[in-house]
Amino acid sequence: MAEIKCPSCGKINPETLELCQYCGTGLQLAPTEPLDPLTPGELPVKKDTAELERTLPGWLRDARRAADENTPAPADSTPVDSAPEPPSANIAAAPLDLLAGLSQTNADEEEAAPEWLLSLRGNTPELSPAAEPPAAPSSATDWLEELQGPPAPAEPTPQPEDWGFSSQATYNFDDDLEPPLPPAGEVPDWLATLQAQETTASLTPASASEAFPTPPGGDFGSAPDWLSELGGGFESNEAAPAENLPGPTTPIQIPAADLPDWMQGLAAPGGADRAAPETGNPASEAALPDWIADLSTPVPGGADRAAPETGNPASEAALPDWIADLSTPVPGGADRAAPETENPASEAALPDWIADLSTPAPGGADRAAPETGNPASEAALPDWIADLSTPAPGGADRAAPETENPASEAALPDWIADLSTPAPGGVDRAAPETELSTAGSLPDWLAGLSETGSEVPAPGDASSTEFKPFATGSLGEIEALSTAESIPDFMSGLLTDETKSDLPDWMKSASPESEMFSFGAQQPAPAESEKPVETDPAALADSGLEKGAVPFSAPIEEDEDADPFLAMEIPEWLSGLKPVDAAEDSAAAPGPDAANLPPADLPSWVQAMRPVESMLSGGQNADGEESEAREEQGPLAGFYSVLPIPASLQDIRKPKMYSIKLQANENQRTQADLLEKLIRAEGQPKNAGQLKESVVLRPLRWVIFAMLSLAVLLPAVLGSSWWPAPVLPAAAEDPFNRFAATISGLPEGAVLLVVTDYQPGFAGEMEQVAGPVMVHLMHKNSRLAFLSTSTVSTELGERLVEQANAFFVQNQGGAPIYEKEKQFLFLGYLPGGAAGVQAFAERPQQTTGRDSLNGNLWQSALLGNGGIEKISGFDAVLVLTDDPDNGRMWIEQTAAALAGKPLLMVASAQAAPMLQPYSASGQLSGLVSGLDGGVLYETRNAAEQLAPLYAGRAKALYWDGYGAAVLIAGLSIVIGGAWSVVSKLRARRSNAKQDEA
Amino acid sequence: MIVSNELLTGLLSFLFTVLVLSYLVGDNPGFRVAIHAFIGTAAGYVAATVFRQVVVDKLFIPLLNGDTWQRVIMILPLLFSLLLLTKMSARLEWLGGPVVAFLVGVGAAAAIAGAVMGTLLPQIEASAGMFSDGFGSLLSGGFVLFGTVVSLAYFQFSVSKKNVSGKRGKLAAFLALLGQIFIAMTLGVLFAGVLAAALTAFVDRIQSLVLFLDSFLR
Amino acid sequence: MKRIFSILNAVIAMGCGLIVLIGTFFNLQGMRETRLLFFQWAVILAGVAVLVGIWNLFSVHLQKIRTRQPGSLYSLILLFFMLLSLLFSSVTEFSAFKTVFLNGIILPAEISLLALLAVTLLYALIRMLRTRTDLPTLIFLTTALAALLLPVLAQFPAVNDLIRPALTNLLAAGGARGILIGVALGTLTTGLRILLGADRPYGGK
Repeated sequence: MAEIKCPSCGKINPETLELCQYCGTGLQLAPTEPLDPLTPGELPVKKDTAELERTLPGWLRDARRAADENTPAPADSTPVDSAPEPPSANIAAAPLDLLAGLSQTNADEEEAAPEWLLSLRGNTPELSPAAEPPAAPSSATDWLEELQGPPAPAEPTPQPEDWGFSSQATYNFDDDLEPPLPPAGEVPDWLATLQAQETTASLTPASASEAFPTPPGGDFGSAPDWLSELGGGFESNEAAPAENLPGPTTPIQIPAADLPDWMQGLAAPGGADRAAPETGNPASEAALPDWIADLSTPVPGGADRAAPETGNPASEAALPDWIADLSTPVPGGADRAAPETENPASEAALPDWIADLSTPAPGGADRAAPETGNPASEAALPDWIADLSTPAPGGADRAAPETENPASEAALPDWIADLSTPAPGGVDRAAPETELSTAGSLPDWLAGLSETGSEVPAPGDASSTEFKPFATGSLGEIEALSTAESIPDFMSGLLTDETKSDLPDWMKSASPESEMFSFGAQQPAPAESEKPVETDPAALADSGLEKGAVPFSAPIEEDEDADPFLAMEIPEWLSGLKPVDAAEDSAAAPGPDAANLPPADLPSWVQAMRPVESMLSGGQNADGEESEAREEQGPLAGFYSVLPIPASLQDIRKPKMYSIKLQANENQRTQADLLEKLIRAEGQPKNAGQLKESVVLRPLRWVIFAMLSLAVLLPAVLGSSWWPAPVLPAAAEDPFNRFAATISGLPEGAVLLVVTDYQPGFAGEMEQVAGPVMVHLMHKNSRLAFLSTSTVSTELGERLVEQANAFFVQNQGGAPIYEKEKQFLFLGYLPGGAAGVQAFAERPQQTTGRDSLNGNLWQSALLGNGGIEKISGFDAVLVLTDDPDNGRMWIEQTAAALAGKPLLMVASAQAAPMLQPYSASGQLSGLVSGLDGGVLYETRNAAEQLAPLYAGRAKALYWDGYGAAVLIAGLSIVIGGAWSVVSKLRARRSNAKQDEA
Repeated sequence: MIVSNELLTGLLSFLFTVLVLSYLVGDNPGFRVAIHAFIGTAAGYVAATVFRQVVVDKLFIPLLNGDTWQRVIMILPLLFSLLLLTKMSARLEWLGGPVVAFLVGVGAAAAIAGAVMGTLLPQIEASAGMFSDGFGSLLSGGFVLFGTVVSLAYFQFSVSKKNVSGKRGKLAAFLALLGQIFIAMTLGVLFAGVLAAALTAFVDRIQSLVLFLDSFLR
Repeated sequence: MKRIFSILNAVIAMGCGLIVLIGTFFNLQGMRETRLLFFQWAVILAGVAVLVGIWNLFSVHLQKIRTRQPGSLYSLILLFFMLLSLLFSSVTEFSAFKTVFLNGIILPAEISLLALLAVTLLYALIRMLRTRTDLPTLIFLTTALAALLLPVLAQFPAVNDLIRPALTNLLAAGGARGILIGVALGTLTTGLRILLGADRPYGGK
């Protein structure tokens, strides 16, 4: 079965359930539909809350839904989800949900939170309390990871001193480690307290639109409701449901006991108000950012900030240690010392500056003491934290917590340090304000929280009262946002008019009336590194940015009360903080240069988070005049201290276009074209030569044929016999003479094996060569047995006999007429090649000669009535062949079986040269080859008077024509060869001339 | 009109001669018809001859009419022949492998015996025997022997391992060059013989055309 | 199965070859008879192999006709004459036509093809020097010309008794003998490779 993870507690539930069986949170959360982002030039448009409902995170919607179910809507509650109207109508309305993605309902969509943020949540419930001592931080950035420390055991019940913020992580971005949220509908204590105090809250928030006026540049419109509710929901604690946060003008009354320790000191008359919603408003808590909610929501185990004070490492582990340390009760510092002593291991893993937070300085009243006592720790502290330890000149109140927690103070950021300064009128909020005013380390938003009704230094008072937690100059425009435009909804309820000036500008615009941010009107002077970056307005004049393109939220009126934080319990350490007169602080506050603060080595990520000084100060000096130019155009319109664009870049409207074409000169292009042609030519076939060859080839062949034909036709037509016959060779060893001699030496009636192994194509030549031999044999009354290893040549012997017969008839010679089966027979076809010849040579009767038609030919009288058992039984073997290989085969295979019987061979002119060595070696008894051999044999026959009337057919028909053809061929070869040589020489000469040229 | 065989033969001979010689003009349908007819005729002739003289006379008749021993002996060639016929099928041609192997083995052995006994030894003996008859034969024999040796040297393409360039040494290259000359002369004589035979065939065809026309016109 | 046949083929080739070779060089009665028996079988099987080749020719052209490929008309002519020749050669009554086919078609066609070769060879000789002009080419051409002309000039005794014998029995004999010896050596080597199983032209590895 499929399972689903509870978004609140993180426990696994069956998919079929709608509510978590552990914490009661709704499991089926609708996906968040974030609003369209702002495009440059657009201004935020006020949106209706109903429209923004879908932009809320699922967990927030669920919390709101649960709160609605639990608490009735207040009568006078104003819709808190109505965003303030944008200041100008011409500004394009655009939704902007700055915190839309803060908390993800879908586990898959949830992004991995940065480590520093994760560490702010504290430990997860899965972690054992003291099983995993945090390892020593390897780098400055790992210190936040170490803030988690060992998980503290679950705290079953919240302490009354607890101002409501739980030390345990309530919302954890890590799904696996996400601690279980309180069941839906179960209001945290702090929020409940807050709600209770809301009934007596003096802050009455105006309409949401007033509470969250649209900033001058536009409105953010899309601020999450939870933040807007923070301002509007604290109007009335009783009637404040989860989503009805007290209005921005109504200070939130939170019981001091419900406030976290660090905020107890901030507890003003309205501080309890702040605590109330903190403890009794889980929905509002749910609407708070996690980092704030973590500070307020108690975990089911009841772990809260008080737990670590009394030795509850689990609860303390839920909060970052530095925050946990802040929550330790200030009086006596025992509480702070307790976790310090009880968690030495965790402290050992903490950075020094955090460890110093928990280590009580031995009577170090001044901030300098811990500073001197722990220079290394202070040196490692960020400036804003280091500022926390810097004692204010008149900051006796500040000194109090300093003496008790000098190390902590030394490590506290200014804004936190301000929290510990007790505010005048019992509002601890003021104390840190006064304290921080000297230290100048409280952020504006925290400064606003610590004081209710206290005089908040003007926002333009940047000298001493301005708090710049992220004091970077480029953020000066934020102040402009807070002053000129409406603040984001989420901030609207957090600031009061009093604290507005003390808030960072980016915060002022959010919630100028929230008490939460009215911690301290006076802020310590910024350090050197925190000086605002001055921008050149002139440089930004032509930036091309549209005026008012950046939407701003309406500035929060200063008279608006703060958020529920104002009513929250102020931690004890903050409660001891006394408010400092803002005027005195501002007058007495030294400048940044006179702070005598050693420059802190902030981590890069901290430095990146620091708001630009100019943005915080709002670009205004102490006189309230704009000291820095405000960006009027572009996406940063309304911001101050925007980095100037170098003059050389002002004219750049769009990126420079670079040509993609290859920048080549004329010569390079020419060479490239040439190379390309060469490469292309390689792939193209050359037809010129072939065409020329084919054109010349055919006519030359025709000429050759014509010449040859003429040479043959003329003698044939004319009947001439002018070409002289060849002369018989004189040498007796001449193969021809030996052949003739052999034939002449055969007895009468000799049985010869005549092998006709020539192709029909050579029949014209072979018949002219073998014809006279046949005549000679016929004159000898030889018996002829024809055999052939070629299928087609089996009957060629019959042609020979017929020609010889015709010759004799024509010549009317005295030679008998040969008849088949009487004087000659055919043994047939002998297959097998060399094996067949060898087999015939060994066993001729078993090899061939048995005919289905004629029976056993070997038993005939012609073949001696079966007397021939081997090839040697023949008187001679006459091989007629046109192939030298065939002749060689017969020579090789019959050499051993012949046993001295003559082997004669009549060969074609093409086979004679290769058969000559065999004749020379004596393996052949005689060799006659070519037409000239036939003519020669005819001449011999004539000489012996074999054919007295007719010299021979070969001579008559072929020799003249052959002679003429050979003569023509010879001449053609000579002429052609000479022409070829001349042509080559001429071509070579022309090439040489061209080369020379 | 009854066409005699001689006339039919003459006509066919004339026709096919002209059709084949027409290739000198170029490839034409007449030439193709003549060639295809020639191939078909020759194939049919061969098939009939082989079937009758080999399969029937040498296989079936001994099996049917021979004695027991002959029949027993002919069983294996019959089986081999059937296996060899499987070469007609691409799917079963592997069954004819043993038969082909038998033919190759027997033929190779016969060729070895013939090459050794019929060519190598006699030719070597003949080369040595050319020096027996006086100074003249000594020169001629020496010359022939020299020609034989250098001709064989030309076909030696192996080189030693130490030869990095991969080419033959100077002495081997010189002998190869001389051998190339002797081979060129031999091949020239061979070429002349082929040309002579071809010219003889040419003369024969022209003569046959003339004789046919002469006999036809008469 | 095919691997077994491959080994079997090699065993048959090597075994039969060795038997024939031993029977040739050694006068062993059993071996000689076996060798002769193998020869007899080889003769029969060689004839059957010719039939297989002719059947392949028939089937190829028949397929060409069946699939109506280009040139199927010529294939039809081929098959027609093949069947006709087969008929004439097989039936005794048609033996005269067999002679007609032999004397009227086979011989004229082949002789005419050889006559065409004469024109081509002569053309090649005329253009030989245009292609390459080096010492072997010149020697070849000169020898060919001499060998072609000398027979027709044999009526001259000097030519017939001196030049021509010197050319054929002296100049060409050395090269011819060298070629013959080389061929014999090659035949010996190839045969031994087959008998030793190094070469398997009958298939298999």
